[in-house]
Amino acid sequence: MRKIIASILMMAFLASQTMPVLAMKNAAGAAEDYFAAVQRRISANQRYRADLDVYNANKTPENEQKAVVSGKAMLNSWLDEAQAWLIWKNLQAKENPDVPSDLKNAIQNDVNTNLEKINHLRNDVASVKTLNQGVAVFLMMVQKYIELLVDVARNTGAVWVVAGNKILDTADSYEAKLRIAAQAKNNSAAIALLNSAKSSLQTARTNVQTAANYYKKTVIGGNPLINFSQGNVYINQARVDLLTAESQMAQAFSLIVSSQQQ
Amino acid sequence: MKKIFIILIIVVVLVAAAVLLKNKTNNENKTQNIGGNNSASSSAVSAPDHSNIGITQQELDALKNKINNSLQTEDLAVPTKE
Repeated sequence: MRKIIASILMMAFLASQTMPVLAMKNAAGAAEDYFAAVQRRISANQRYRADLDVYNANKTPENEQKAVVSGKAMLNSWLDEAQAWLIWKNLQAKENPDVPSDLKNAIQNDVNTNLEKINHLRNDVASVKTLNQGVAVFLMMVQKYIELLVDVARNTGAVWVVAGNKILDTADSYEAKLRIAAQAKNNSAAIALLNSAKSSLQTARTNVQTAANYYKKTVIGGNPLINFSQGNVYINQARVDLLTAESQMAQAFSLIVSSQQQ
Repeated sequence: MKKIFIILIIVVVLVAAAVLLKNKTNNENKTQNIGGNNSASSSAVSAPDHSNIGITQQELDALKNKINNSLQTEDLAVPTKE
């Protein structure tokens, strides 16, 4: 009877371990995990700060232990956030048919390497017994944390650049087709809109190229995550330019269609 | 004893299959929802294919969706020494 119970427990344990792996998430699910991890890290940070304030006001061993426990939770929450982001970016690249295979493989390899580094850092966090040890691990982690993210950040930026250029090529071809139709109808209002769209597309292409230059500078030494963030600023601006151009092309399309119906 | 083991293995395999199926269905539903929204918005403003223009309203809508979906960036936070 004991053997049967032990077997059932073993089976249940194995099932609980394998189910999450079997029930693989997609990129959308991984994104949700990442944003949830960011929220948990913010909460863990606040709890640690509160416990540290209590300890600083009254330095008892009990208060130190509370701060150590919440400090370790805070450190792990940073690692959870990095891990969730790496998993998300890997799945996102995998699911995107526009991403070249060499970029997908580079992201996959970097993610695997960095997930291993995260496990090593978790062991360092687990070994913390005092606040001083916690501070030492934290300082070491500050250095290593950027290393965990930098390669994948650079390649993720490259993915956005590839996507941006591909969208721009499509948008350029639409603008050219609309222009031919507008010129055939001598539709000056549509041509004026297409001139604005073309200008927006040129600005967008410049912004994507500038973003690419910042992403290339997302390397250790210097300010990699600031460069990554700057690249994002230009990609976001390119997105706005593209949406403007799309809106102008849609208006031009309507004008051409209505002139055909008259 | 062997029979119990076989039954347990079958139960575990069935549960695993059910979880995988549920996950797959959820993902398909998500995709269909996204696709459904897109097609709904497209059909609301769709225009006939004017072959002399060379593009359709649906293609312009698809372009807009791609711009919105493919160029979403996020900055990264790092632990600071504060």
